[in-house]
Amino acid sequence: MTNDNAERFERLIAALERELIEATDEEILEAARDLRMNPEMKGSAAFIDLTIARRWLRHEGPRASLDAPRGRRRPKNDPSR
Amino acid sequence: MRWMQALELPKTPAGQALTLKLVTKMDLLRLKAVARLLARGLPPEVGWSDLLQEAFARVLDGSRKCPEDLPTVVFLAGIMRSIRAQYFRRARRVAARLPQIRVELDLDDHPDSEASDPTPDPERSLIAMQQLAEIDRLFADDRQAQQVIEGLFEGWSPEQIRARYDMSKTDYDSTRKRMRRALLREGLKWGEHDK
Repeated sequence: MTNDNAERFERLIAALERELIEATDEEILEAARDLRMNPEMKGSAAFIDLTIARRWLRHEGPRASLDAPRGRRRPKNDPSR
Repeated sequence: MRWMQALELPKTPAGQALTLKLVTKMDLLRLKAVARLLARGLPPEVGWSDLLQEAFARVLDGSRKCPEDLPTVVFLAGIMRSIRAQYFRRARRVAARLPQIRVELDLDDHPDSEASDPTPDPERSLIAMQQLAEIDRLFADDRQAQQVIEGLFEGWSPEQIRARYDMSKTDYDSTRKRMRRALLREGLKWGEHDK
């Protein structure tokens, strides 16, 4: 195993990067549809992890909020109650 | 996503760039797939999202300016590539200093044995091969795609790949199209900021 493998891998990554940059909008839409996303729809899930701060998604993400529609539930022994 | 707007969630640099129309929605998705690709081989603490957002942040704060004749997507991909290269350079510098640090900390009786190691970064080489296997798995059912991957890994030209594997130009082009679709599918997956 030599460093040459790392260099060859970088070459592959560069070639695949070019493929992705050259992908047409239609190809992107098709791939998104494969994942059951519709980027053309307003508020599409395709953009959530791109446009909303990661910290928020991790700790107070949509799932947590949707599970508790009237605000975040506090444990019964929460001292702030 | 009205509930999100109502909450006035903090926008990422990419989100701000979209609002400012520095990129289109399709460009943003294209860059997401590129970021996922370029994050391959980086340690878990550097995720694709970090690469992407840092690239946008550098454009937004003015530290990187896009030349007029360069498409924004190409420019942003270039910044991500540069951040990736910076990481590897830094990691190499740290690795090069390790023998000295070990001597200073009196951890190593024979520092010369490491200093003269002919494979200065075997770990990166191993990670590269693991990542290559993962990329190969994306095309597990597509022999021609695996052949193209192998050819690109070896640095062959399209003509060399076609000659080696007896592929017509039509076959080669349709294989590339299938590869793009699979790479985009992989790159557009929701979430998993670190993978």
